[in-house]
Amino acid sequence: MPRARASPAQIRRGHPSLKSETGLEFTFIASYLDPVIQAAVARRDPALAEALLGYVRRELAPRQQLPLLARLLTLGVVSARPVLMRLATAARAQGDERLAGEALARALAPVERPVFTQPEEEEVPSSLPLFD
Amino acid sequence: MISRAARVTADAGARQLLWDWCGEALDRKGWLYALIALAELAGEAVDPAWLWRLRCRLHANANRDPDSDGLTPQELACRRWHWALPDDLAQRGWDADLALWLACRRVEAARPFRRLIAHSPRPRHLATLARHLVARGESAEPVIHRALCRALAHRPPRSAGATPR
Repeated sequence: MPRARASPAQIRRGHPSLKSETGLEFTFIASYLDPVIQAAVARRDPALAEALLGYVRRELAPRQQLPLLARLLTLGVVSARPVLMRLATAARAQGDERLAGEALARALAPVERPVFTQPEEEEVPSSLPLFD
Repeated sequence: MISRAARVTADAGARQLLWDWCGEALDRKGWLYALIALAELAGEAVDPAWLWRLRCRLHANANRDPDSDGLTPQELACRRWHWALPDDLAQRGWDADLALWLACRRVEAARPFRRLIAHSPRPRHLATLARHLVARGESAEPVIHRALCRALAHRPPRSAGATPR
């Protein structure tokens, strides 16, 4: 059952869904995972970055995934690109045009000065459906 | 303070004081300060087996609930990695706890904790492991790198807890 999203005011008051520390952790997921990205960059460790990519795909809700996937792609983790594409497709199918647009834009953004150099694993299809 | 007292005196009084403190600290701040003090001791020539016993006593004291009934502090320490610490200084406590384990990890009773950290995909745990890698750079412990990679890949059974989504 998906966890209800709490507003900042609810967080301050102690929303029932945030009674556990785990709830708070997942509310501020990006700040917790930032050290993992820092570690991957500092060690130039693509295996760690790939492991983080898998975690993000598996554990986080789509909207939580977007900034982390985009950051990983910026660093040169090119396997984040098809994940962003799938995220865009799924978001569009669910009627979340805004998330779909953001994910698509991030997926198509060029990777400049990547930390990790990896071959592109999957070509972005040239016949992508455009959003209205 | 207490670390100095313990180092300088190595006497039964200082040891008893630390033992009592770990069993009687009452609140988040108390647990945090005790963790930091124990991590300081880890950098001194203190018996790691005794240090791990102190840490487990503190952890059990801070994690009193029906689920932990019947478990010794050492058993509980290797089944649960949880601290309720003051929000603004919590990470300092978690970092101290990891440093503490690293100092004690060759102690027989502390060995199963390695499995625990490698099977815990909670964001706080991931952040704590990653912060060690960032802070220590080249001298980071390989065991922490392996644990972080495994924790990121670990799939906890869905029935055992709430889904994070």
